[in-house]
Amino acid sequence: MKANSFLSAMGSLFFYIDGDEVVIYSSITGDTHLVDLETAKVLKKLNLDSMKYSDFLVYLADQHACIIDSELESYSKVLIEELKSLDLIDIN
Amino acid sequence: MFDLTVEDYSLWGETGVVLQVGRYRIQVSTEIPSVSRHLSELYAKDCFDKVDGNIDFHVSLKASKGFRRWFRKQVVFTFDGYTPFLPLPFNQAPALFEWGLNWCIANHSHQYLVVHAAAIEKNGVTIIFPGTPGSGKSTLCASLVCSGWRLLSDEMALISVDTGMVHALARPISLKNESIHIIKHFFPENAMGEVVNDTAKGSVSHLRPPDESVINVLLPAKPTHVIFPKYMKGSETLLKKTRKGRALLKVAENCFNYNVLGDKGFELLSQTIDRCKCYEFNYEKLEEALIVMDGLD
Amino acid sequence: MLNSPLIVFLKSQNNQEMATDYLDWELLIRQARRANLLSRVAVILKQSSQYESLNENFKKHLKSAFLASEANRRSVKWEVIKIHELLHNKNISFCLLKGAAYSEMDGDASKGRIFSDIDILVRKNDLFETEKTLVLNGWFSSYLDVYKERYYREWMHELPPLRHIKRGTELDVHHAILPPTSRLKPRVSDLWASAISIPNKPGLFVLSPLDMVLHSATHLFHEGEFVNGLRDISDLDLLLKEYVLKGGKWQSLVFRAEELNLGRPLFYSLRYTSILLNTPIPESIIRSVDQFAPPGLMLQLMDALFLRALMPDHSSCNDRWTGLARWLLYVRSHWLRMPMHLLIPHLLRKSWMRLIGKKTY
Repeated sequence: MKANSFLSAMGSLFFYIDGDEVVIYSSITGDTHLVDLETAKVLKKLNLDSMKYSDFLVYLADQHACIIDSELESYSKVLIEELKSLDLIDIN
Repeated sequence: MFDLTVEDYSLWGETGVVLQVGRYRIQVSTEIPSVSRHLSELYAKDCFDKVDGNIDFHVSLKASKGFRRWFRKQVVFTFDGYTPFLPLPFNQAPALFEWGLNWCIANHSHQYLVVHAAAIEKNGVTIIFPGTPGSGKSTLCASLVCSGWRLLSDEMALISVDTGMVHALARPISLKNESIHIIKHFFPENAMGEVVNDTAKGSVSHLRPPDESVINVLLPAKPTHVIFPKYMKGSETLLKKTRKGRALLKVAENCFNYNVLGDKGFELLSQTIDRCKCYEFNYEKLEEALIVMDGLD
Repeated sequence: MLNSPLIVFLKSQNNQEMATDYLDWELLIRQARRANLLSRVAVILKQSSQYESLNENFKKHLKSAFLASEANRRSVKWEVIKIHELLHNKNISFCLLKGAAYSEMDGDASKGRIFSDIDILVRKNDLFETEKTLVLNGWFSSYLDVYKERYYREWMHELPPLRHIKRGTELDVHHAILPPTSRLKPRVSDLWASAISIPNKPGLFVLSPLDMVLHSATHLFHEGEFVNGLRDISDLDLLLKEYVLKGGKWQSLVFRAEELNLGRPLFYSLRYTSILLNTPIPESIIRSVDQFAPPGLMLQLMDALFLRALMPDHSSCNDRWTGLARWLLYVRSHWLRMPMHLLIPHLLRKSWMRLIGKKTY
C-alpha cells in the first residue's frame, strides 16, 4: 500500500450497534454486513473523512494505543483487504 | 353487506367479487368451483363485497385454454392480464389462489417491509416468527391462533414504513403435510379447506382464521418479540435470547423487499429489532410451546 | 384508446390545458403498471400539487412503485461502478446504452424508470477480451443452445446475454447498435467519434445526446416486442425535451439522422411521440423528416400497427386487431434484422421449439 493512497468509505454507511457487534448497511451496494465494533469505528471514521494510508496507520496506532510497527502494518493491510472485499471502502 | 352463495357462479364469472383482505381490496373472478368453495368456506362473509371500484389487485383463476382443457387440465392465475406463474394441475386451484395473492402483495407493497414470517398478537404481546425453512412456523402459528392468539399473518408480516406497526391480513393459514394432521388432531373444531395433494410442497391445506382475528384486522399491532422457531424431534422446549445484530441480519435475509427499501428498510428493521426481545426457540412439544408463548411479556 | 387515462395523463404533461381532475385513477394505475410506467407516473405526480389530494388507496400503489424504481436506480449505479472497475483494469473502453446511460447522466429519462438489464457498447476488437474479463469475474452466459449462441454472435450485434452469478443482473454487450445483417447500417465508428467521456471514470462513455435519442428511436422501431413500447415512447419524449428542445438542436438531430442513415426511425419516433404524448416538436421539423417517411399506404399500415402495439398491454387498451398488430410487428422486426435466407429458418426453428414445449428458444 502506497503511503499516499487515499482510503474512504464507499457511499453512505448506516450502523446498528449491538455491544461489540455492529451491523452495517451500505447504500451504494445495498449489502448488509456484521462486523466487530473496532472495524465499525474505522468505517465510521472513513465515512466522515477519507484518509491517506500513512494517516490511517497513525489513527490505528492511536485507537489501539500502540506504536506503528510491522505488526500494525500487517493488521492494517488485513483490515483493508477485508473491508475492500465487502465493498465497504475505496482506495485511490 | 353482500350475500354470497357458492352456487351463484354467475357472480364469480367475468366481473367476480371483491374480497377485503386487511387493507387490500382484491377483485377475484373465477368459474372454478373449488376456488369459490375455498373462498366462501375460509373467508368471513363480511370480507366479500360487490365490485364497485377502488380495487387494489385484479386476479383471476381460469382453466388453461387449448388442448389442456381436456388432457391433464390446468389452472392459470392471472394478475390483471399478466400471468406470473406457469399453470398448475387443476386440482391445485385453491392453493394457487393463495400463492398468487401472496405474490401480488409481496411484490407491490413497498409501503411495508414485507417479512417472510408469521405474526400473532395477544394482550399487547406481538410476536414475529421469521420463516426459516424447517422452523415449523406454520404449525406453531396455527396452534397459537387456535388457542386464543390473534392472527396477523401466517406468511407475510407487513411492517409499516411510516409507523413501524404490523398491519394484519388475517388470511387462511397455509399448512403442509404433517401440520395438516397435527392441527386437525389438536383443533378439530376449526374449519379447514380441501387438502390438495402432490403440489411442489407436498400436501397443502388451509385453516380458516378465527372470526375475531378477521374482525380486528384493521387494528395495527406494535411488535414486541422476534422469535426464531426451530422444530426438532427430541428437542427440549427452550427459549434462548439471541444477539440483536445477528437477529437483524437473519430477519433481513427473510424479507421479500429489504433490498427495495434500502436504507429506510435498514433503519426500520434496526428500530424494530431494537424495540423487541429477540429469541431463538427450540421445541418439539406443541403444548409446551403454547405455554412458553403465553408466558411472554 | 388514445383517450385512455394513462395516455391523457402523460399528454397533459405537454399540454397544460388538458384537464386531469377527473381521471379514472384506478384504471390509470392498472395501465401504468402493465406498461412499466407506474413509477414514472409516481415521480411526475409527486412533483405536482395533485399528489396530496389523491385517495390514500391510490397513493400506496404509487409510493410502492416509486420505491421500487429508486432501489433499481441504486443497483444500476452500483453495477456500472463494478463493470467499469473490471473493464478499466484491462483498458477496455465502453459506452453505456439506454437506461444505464440515462442513469449515469441523471437525466429526466432516468426518473421513475425501472432498468431490467444493462446494455454496453464495446469496440469489435475488444469483444473477445471483454467477454473473457467478464466471464472470469462472476458473469456467465445464460444460453447454452448452440443455435442461439450463433444467432447472437454471428447475426446479431451482441454477445449472448450475461448474468452475474451473485447479483443476478443481466448484461448485454453490443459492438454495434443494429445487427450487421440489418438493412440499415449506421456506422458505429461515427457513434464512437461523438461519444462523451464521463468525468472521473476514464474509459466510460455515453453516446452524445443526439445519438442517444437516435439510438432509443432505432431500438424501439426495430423491436419485435412492445411490452415496454409506451415506456420507450415516454423515454423518447423526455430525451427530446431535455437534449433537443432545450438546446434548440432539432435541425442537428435531423442532419445526424441522415448522417447515420437512421432517418426512418427518427421519422417514426417524432411521429408517434407527437401523436401519443403531444411532444412539442416544431412543425418545420415534422415536415423536414417527411423525407424519411415510408410510402403512403405503408405509413397507413404502420400507423395501424404501431398505434396499437405502443399501447399498454392491458385489456382496457386492446381492440380486436391488437393481437394481430403485435404479431405482424414481431415478424417485421426479424425481417429488419435478418435477410430472408436467414429469417425463414430462424422463424421455423422458433415455431418448432415452441411446439415441442421448450421454454427458452
